[in-house]
Amino acid sequence: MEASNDLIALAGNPNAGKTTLFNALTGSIEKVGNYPGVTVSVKQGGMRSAHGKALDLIDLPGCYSLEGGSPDQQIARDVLRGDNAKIPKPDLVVCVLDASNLERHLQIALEIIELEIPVVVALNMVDLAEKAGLRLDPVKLSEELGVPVVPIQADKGKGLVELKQSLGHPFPATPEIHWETGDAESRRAFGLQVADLAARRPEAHTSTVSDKLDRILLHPVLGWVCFIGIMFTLFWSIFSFAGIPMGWIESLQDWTTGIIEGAMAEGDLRDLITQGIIGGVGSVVIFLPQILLLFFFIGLMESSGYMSRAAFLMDGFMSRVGLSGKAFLPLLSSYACAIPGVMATRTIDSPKERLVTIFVAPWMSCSARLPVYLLLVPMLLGGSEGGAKQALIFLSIYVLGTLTAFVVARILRGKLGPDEVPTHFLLELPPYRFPQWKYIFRHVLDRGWAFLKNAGTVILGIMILLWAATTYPKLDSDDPAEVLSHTIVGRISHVIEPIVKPMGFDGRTGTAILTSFAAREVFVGSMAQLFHVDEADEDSETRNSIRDQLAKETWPDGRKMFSPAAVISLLIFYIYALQCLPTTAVVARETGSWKWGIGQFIFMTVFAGVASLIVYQLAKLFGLA
Amino acid sequence: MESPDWQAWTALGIVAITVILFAVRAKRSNSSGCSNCGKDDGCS
Repeated sequence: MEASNDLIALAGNPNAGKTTLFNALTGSIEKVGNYPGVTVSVKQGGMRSAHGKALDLIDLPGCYSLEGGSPDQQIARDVLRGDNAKIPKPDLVVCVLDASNLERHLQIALEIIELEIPVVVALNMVDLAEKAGLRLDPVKLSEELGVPVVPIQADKGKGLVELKQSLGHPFPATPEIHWETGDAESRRAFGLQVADLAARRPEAHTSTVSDKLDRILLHPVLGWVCFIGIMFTLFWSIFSFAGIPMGWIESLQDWTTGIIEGAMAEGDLRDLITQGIIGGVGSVVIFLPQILLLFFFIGLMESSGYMSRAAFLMDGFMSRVGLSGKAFLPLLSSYACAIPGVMATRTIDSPKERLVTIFVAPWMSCSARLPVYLLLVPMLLGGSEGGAKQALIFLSIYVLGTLTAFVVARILRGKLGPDEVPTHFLLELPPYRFPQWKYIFRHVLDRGWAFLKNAGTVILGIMILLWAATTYPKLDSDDPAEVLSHTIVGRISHVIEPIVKPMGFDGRTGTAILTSFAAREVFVGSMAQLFHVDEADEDSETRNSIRDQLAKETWPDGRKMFSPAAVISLLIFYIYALQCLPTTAVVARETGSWKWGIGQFIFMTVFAGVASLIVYQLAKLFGLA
Repeated sequence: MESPDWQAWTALGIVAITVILFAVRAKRSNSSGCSNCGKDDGCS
């Protein structure tokens, strides 16, 4: 940020459209969503005024008041008061207000005006307000507040030129204040009076499309039926629609392997390329279409406004486990990735509730677990992919992780005791909107690229090392089992087999689990390498090849190695284990202590091991091994 | 076709480079406090 440029801050209530406006003004692609609390940290960017002057722009986390105690509110308050050590006090604040909820959104604007910083009001979503029957009067609003008011539609880019013009020098003077400064009641009364004058409501309340939809989607019974139906459709779609692009990736993999084998003589380098790199990395990359579909559906729910309804439905349930509906959105974000989920807990006021939410967030099955589930689930149903039964098992896996998180949250919340200052849950239910396709697709592509980047760097490196560990030291023998047991992996497997055997795994599966502590999805590639899945078979499909190979594996006494009990035990381990070092680092940063990060890692790993052991031993008793 | 020696040496070279890159990465992560996870929502 150049010190010479004027600094403009975007502030306002959550879900007022600040980030959409930030993106429109700066050309950035920061994440937006039609639910409160998407922005939990300060985002920075550059823009130019209507006269070409360079300006620095910051997007502050949304908050209903500057008096609250949650970390995101503290950030916004400190920046606006000039108390933030890293960000200077803004020269001008653009208050972004939702025109259809003016009476509530005006409160934060009045608080900011009290700080005596130049303010411009961006009256956003005027189209939705007018559709709802409101008669807006921006001129009256400007007169009453004493600051410029610009009507805009940030998502469609309307009114931005006028807004940029209002950001030129000289900045508007701080207005005369018509209420008692620092008195919340006086401020509230003035806000209601201004809202009444500037946004006239129709005499008779007309039912909007959102009202009609909410009658079904928030219904105590129908709402839950719809929620479960939506989740089921999501998982079913992930299975059904991804098959075709996955086939293309497999064909490309086979074609490349064929070319290399045709061009190179047999040798270590050829093995490294075909088995280690193409086989190992390819078996992870194959899941890209499913990852993209998952993020597409999450984006769709966020953008349409359904995410807030899901949080509303869950609030009653959440309160029974000692959390509020505010904890639901971070937990829901963790289904995509625990890192943004942990960061989203900044919206939670209660420090104890925030700590508990951070602690259980990694139990929401994130997208990195998806490749492991996709490999293992069909093994429970005879090997073939697709169909409603697999979607049901998938749904059960997600439900199991979620329920366990709630039970542990309940226990932990009880141990931590009640809050010193009671907090209240306030959730905004925004009107349903047509999804912002541009942002959804950009976000999906970003996540896809992050997945590929990970596959091309960390996973590639691990696969190369794993190939070396399954190749060296070499033994001159014709027996593949003897050759493998002589290698580094063979020796490690030998050591860890007694530990993992009671969980139903042999030493090679144990080694694959060890490799996946760097990144969960590595497990699939590791299994492909450790069980010597032949990628070059004609008409073979990689995932089916791995599954076919695993299905053939037996214990020395002839029993099937990957019995239903062993597969369930593996699934249980991956549902519960925290195999993501970046999450541990972010938890340590957000809680301000490595004690929580490392404690969480140890607790979840031990929990996963014990749960896996119990499940395998029980399944064995029922004859599933 | 007999395995030429260059393949074994090249493969070993790639493995050695990978080990060095991981070591450098780990050292950098420790000194900067960043895990370089590649996740865009991470350390913003």
